[in-house]
Amino acid sequence: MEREPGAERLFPMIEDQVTMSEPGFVDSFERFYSDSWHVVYRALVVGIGDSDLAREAVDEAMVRAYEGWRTVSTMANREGWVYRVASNWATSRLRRRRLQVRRMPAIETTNEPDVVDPRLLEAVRRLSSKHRDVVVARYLLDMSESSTAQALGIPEGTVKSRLSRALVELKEALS
Amino acid sequence: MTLDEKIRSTLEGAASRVPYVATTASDEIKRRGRRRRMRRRAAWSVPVVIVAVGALALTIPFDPNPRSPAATQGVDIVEIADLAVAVTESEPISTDPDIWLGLKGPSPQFDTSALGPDLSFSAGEPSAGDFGDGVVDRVVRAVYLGELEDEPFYIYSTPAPSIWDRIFEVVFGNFSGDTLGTSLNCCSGGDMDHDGGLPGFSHSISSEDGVVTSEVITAEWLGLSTDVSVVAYQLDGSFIGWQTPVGGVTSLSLSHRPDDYLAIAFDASGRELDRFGTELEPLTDDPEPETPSESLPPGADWAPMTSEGSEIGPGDIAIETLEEEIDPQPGDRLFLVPVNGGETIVRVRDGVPHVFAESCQVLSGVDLPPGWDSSCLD
Repeated sequence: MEREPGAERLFPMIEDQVTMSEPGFVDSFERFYSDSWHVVYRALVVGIGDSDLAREAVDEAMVRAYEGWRTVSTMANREGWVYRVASNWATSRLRRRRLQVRRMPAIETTNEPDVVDPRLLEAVRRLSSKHRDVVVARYLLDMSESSTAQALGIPEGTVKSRLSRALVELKEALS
Repeated sequence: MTLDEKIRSTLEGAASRVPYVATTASDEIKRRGRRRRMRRRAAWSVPVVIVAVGALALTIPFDPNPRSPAATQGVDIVEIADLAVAVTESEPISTDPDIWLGLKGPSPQFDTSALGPDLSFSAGEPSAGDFGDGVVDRVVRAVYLGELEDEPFYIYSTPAPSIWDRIFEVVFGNFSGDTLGTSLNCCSGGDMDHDGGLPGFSHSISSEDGVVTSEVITAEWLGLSTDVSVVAYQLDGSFIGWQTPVGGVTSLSLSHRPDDYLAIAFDASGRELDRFGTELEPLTDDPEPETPSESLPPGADWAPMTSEGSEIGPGDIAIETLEEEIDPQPGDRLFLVPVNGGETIVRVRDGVPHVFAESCQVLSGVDLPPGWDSSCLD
């Protein structure tokens, strides 16, 4: 790809080796990045309730997406893949820090619109990461069961099962 | 408002309150790349070596572990990216590409029976042909560790393949991948995280449309001292096996991604040298390895809760779609367990239980033990 004189060269080391023969490599990643970063970040913030951790997790996942962009760019559900990687990373960090959901700061609800049920939101955040990922993928990222299965790398039957069990937990939390 | 609608509106409402964060790809990726490289070194406790992934092969006497200077004096080391790998001789055993033999750790002189089976590398013959046409020309130097699951296992470096220092492996046949939890050209990767999760990587095999068709999950511990004799891996509370490291490397393929894990390094006398895992505990001088609960048959810890569970064969699965979902394989054990007015089938594969049911409603009422997963049809 032709660049304007003086324009910043992004990822110069990679660019030298990869994009000389594949001019769209960096550009296609940048497009994906700008389209998807906030979507995944928002989903993670909602799911885990920690914006700093969510930001770090999405950054980490994006680094990995960039490293494996040859493969990731061919995936039908790239956003789902990044969500999965980010969620796993965040879960690992939470586990490592031993900051389980129950120790998270209280959820700020005063500024949230009426459609947000704080009990329900807290219940979602208390779900196991496996169940929470399915709920977030289905209801917030609006993925089909098939896309959710693909994104999370699990069979569709397991998506159904996890969703079903998560809904039971959420229903109980509201009752 | 239905529960579905309530969940959707709550999540979307909460998401709409998340402030927009302005971020650019170039800044974030570069910043993260630098930070991550630093963390990797810290996480692995890899000895400080000069990162010189170039054309010049290098072996140096090196002491990879300050715990035991006497045990490692004079050991030849080959640098694979930023990893120091102990080798048997200072010169490569073959060239084009340069291949060294990894130095095997000392054999254990203590009882390892409580740690599960010996899953160590077996001896084999290295060959440039193991790398495949697409890789061999890029290999700067490689260390052959032996055969693992009947496949040759190498770690190798290539000339400056990315903005990060990389270590690659040849394992699982023609698969070549970055060992550090991410992927370059083959894997979805990234699920195992060296900073907080089980070190290793996952290798997802996808069809052309991106659907993951199978997955290999690997646990690895690199950069071990040459006096490490045994690395025992414990997943979800049970030891699954142990390895004697070669070149300071251990690698195990796992049947599932564990919720909890622990890896412990012992010297030849059984003294614990190091450990990492989800439950980090202080080092002890005289560890008593946990005895795995192998007295009960797999699945039996749950099935008796119903008092009605019974072992069945693949032909006893009455529902065709459920049989497809269960996908019985040789070696699987199946248990039919009535619950909540319906039936579930517990499949135990490689010691890992998975519960199946036709009805998601039936299954959702079952109180599964921690770590158990499940699938249903509708």
